[in-house]
Amino acid sequence: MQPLTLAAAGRDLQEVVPLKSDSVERHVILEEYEGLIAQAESLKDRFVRRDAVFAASAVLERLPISDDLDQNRRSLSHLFHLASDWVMREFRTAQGREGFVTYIDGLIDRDRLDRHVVAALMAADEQDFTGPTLNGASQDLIEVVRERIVRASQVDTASNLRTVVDAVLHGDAALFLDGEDRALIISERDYEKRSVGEPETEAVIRGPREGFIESLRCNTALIRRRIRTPQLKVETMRVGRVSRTDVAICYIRNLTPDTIVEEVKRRVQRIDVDAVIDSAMFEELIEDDPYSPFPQVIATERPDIVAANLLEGRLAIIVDGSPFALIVPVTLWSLLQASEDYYERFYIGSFLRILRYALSFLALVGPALYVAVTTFHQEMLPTALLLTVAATREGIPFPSVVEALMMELMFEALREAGVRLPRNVGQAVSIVGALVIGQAAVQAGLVSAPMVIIVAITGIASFSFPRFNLGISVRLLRFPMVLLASTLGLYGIVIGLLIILIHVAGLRSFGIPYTSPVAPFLVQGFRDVIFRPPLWLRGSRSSLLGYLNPRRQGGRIKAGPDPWEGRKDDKQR
Amino acid sequence: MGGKEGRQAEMNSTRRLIYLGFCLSCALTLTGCWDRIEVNDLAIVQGIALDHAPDGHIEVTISIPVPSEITPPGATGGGAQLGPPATNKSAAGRTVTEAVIRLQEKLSRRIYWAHNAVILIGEDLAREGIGPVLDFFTRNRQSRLSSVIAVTTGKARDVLASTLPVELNVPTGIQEMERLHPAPFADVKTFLQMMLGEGIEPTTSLVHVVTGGAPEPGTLQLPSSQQSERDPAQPAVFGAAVFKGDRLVTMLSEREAAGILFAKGQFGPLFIPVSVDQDRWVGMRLLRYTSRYRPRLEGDQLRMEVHVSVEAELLENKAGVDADDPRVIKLLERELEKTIGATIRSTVTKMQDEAQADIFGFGAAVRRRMPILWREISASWDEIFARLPVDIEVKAAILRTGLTNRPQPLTRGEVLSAERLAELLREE
Repeated sequence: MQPLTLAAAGRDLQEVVPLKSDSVERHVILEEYEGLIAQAESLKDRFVRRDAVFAASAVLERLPISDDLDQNRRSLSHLFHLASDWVMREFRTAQGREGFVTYIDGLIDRDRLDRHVVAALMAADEQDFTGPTLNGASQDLIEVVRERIVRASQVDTASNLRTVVDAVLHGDAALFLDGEDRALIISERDYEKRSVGEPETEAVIRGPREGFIESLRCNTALIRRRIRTPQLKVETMRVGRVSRTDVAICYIRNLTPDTIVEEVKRRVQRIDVDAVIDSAMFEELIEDDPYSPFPQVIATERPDIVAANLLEGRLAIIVDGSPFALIVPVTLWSLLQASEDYYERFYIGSFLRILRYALSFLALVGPALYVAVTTFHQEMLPTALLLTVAATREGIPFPSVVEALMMELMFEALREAGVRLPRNVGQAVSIVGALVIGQAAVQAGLVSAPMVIIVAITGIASFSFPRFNLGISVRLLRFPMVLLASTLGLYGIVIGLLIILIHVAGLRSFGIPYTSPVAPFLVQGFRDVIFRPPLWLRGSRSSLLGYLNPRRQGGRIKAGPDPWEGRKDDKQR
Repeated sequence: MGGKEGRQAEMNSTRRLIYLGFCLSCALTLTGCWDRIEVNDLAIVQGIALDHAPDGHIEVTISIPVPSEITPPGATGGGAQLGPPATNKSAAGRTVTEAVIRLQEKLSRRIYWAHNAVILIGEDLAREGIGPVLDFFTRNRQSRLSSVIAVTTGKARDVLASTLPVELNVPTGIQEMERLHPAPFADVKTFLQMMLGEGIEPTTSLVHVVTGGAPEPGTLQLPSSQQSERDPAQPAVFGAAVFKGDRLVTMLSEREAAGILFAKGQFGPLFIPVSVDQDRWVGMRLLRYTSRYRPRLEGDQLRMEVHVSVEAELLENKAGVDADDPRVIKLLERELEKTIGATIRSTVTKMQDEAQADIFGFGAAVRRRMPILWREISASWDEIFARLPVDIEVKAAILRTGLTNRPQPLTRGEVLSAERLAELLREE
């Protein structure tokens, strides 16, 4: 049973331990564990029993390291039995003390480990082991080794077997010495990773071309390189019973409200799953309303977007192994804004922003409007257009709604196939497919030409969403809208839009209303929703998120002749 | 953690959600799509012709485009054997509705009125009174008050039966012609306002079937010499129909109809020839004009002042006047004023003498300015209108003389100086 691996690991430890249970503490822990397991076995409900077993095995994580090297060696060997990538290198120091270094091959820079740890220890002579340590304490061997001999820059001590195992599995090396009940955790991590490249899903014409990769540390570095303040906090947690994934929560202290930081941390800590494969799993487990079709986080590959959002008082959650950072809390409007709005001239940015709103509306109701107008409200069309539509519909065997659903489904199929197919085939297939289906279906008289145009336009419109996840939600909502339009006409569309509006207005993302600053109305932010203001006017942060530090820039930063120049009573300057 | 209760609660809420979804989907699907009708199940009426039929019946003719004959622009492989893009169907009945029911019996598609562009009323029916007929169009939910209403000389269905090659079909053509305002134009709404309003009688344009050429000025007939066998019959819009209440009383020629437009300040004729002497003409294009009625009481005598101001440009200088001379322009302006004034005068006189129908809305002007007096005289307004002294004052301004910048006209004859022009005009 896969989820029980941790418990199994605990039991493995227990099997080894009785050989030489020397310390009192060890004894107490084992007794507690056995008691809990006994209790758990008597429970009837399968799920409750499982939870109890997990709780019991958690106790084992407190098991201390034995001062007997052989004991530790056996425990680890048992644990890592059959894990062929696990390495244990035994050695003897110049002093004659036995010890071993253990690590997972492939997660570590072996060359550096050899030079900085193994070779250093073996070459160290007696004198190196004597003498006072930094804190003046006596002959604490582990401290001495840490301070004088090991040449790695990042070294920790651990007194708990579970910590050691965790560290080893995350790519650290552990150094055990005979007679010491603590181990040194030496960080010489180095594993194969993709190089930082251009983000593929979020291409820009202008703007940085760096994208996140699958390595957490690299990703935090990409953010840190944009926000160089100690106030940028990167808190790490481990999530996942089996995967033990590193998760970093980034925020700017004294800017992001503490309540939101606490709430994010609480939700992340609450996650109890066996593995976190990608940040997408995270998204579903921390968002406020997982039943909603609307995404409540921004998932982005771009460090510049993360940095910009951090500066607005938001948090970023970065999951090891995923090139997508999650940004919370978000509003509907922030999902509709592209980073390029700010990289182009503000006229263009404003135009693109308004265009995007129009296109997103079109993507939602395009086919529905067509169906409603042509089957219920023919009086709304200009006569010439109505006649043209009537001419093209002549001889089409299906009602408009069937046509619409058919073509929309076909479009979705093409899109899906285009994504799934190998890259170099995908594009060709989707282009050819669209041509064949559009052209051939019209010529065969299965679908009317205006419908193909409508579907194509809405298809294009739905790709104008800067966030893929919002685009796909809207594409999904299009189908109920078409059905509503086909049964109730424009009345149905209005009902659908109202339902969506009510739902969206009720959504919250980590306490922030989803539709703010439109509803609730905030003058300051409302301007930014409609226009992209020139940078020198972008004075303050959102009053919902950035209230701790509302002013983000100086007041007179617009270039040009200084209007205050030469004034005598100029005291502000 | 979670436990039994949490799971139960979640299951309950899911079940509730499923019920809700089920109910909603029932509400949606059980109602059906009762109002849904595809475009190609509609017989889109573009024009309707109403004629008098024997035994007090009304003959209704509708013009319906045939979508399959309309080739969408850019469509490839269109069949060469295209029929006429519209078809006409006629039926008679005691009421319009009855006739429409008869029509529906002959049509496989539902008659749809929302795109009706024109309502043509035959002369005979118009003389009988069109109020009862119009009720169908004002009460009908689909029909639009913006449909053009026009009277035809002869049978209205003959107009629909004529052809107009440039446009898609006849009704659209008539609608477009009416938009150019060659004649007093009325849609159903303005017609009803005139018909039901106090102190104004309705007028609307006349539609004729012509075969080539233009009508003789001042008449409604085409000169027989201009009739050509080769030109197929086609509709033409000129002249006006004058109603009293809902009955047609008389029909006006093109020039008389222009008098209505000038007096009411409705934009109409674009081009007006002004004569200098017998065969010297200057063509003017009217840019805009406005009119104002001012009723005045002089002792017991009610008088009506009509102030018209016109802006025009010189479009054609066939008389050979020196168009660069401001004095010449002044003289031409006076002449234009005279021409327009005379046009209005002749129409007013004709209305006062022949029809006693206040199509200008003088009564309405009195009602607005002198409501108390109007209450006394409204009952006998028709007689008062017939004897009403009307003062017509026209102010014309010629704004520009066109692109030709030579002082001399391009004509071969002498250049008319201001003095010569004044002389000529005095002689006339």
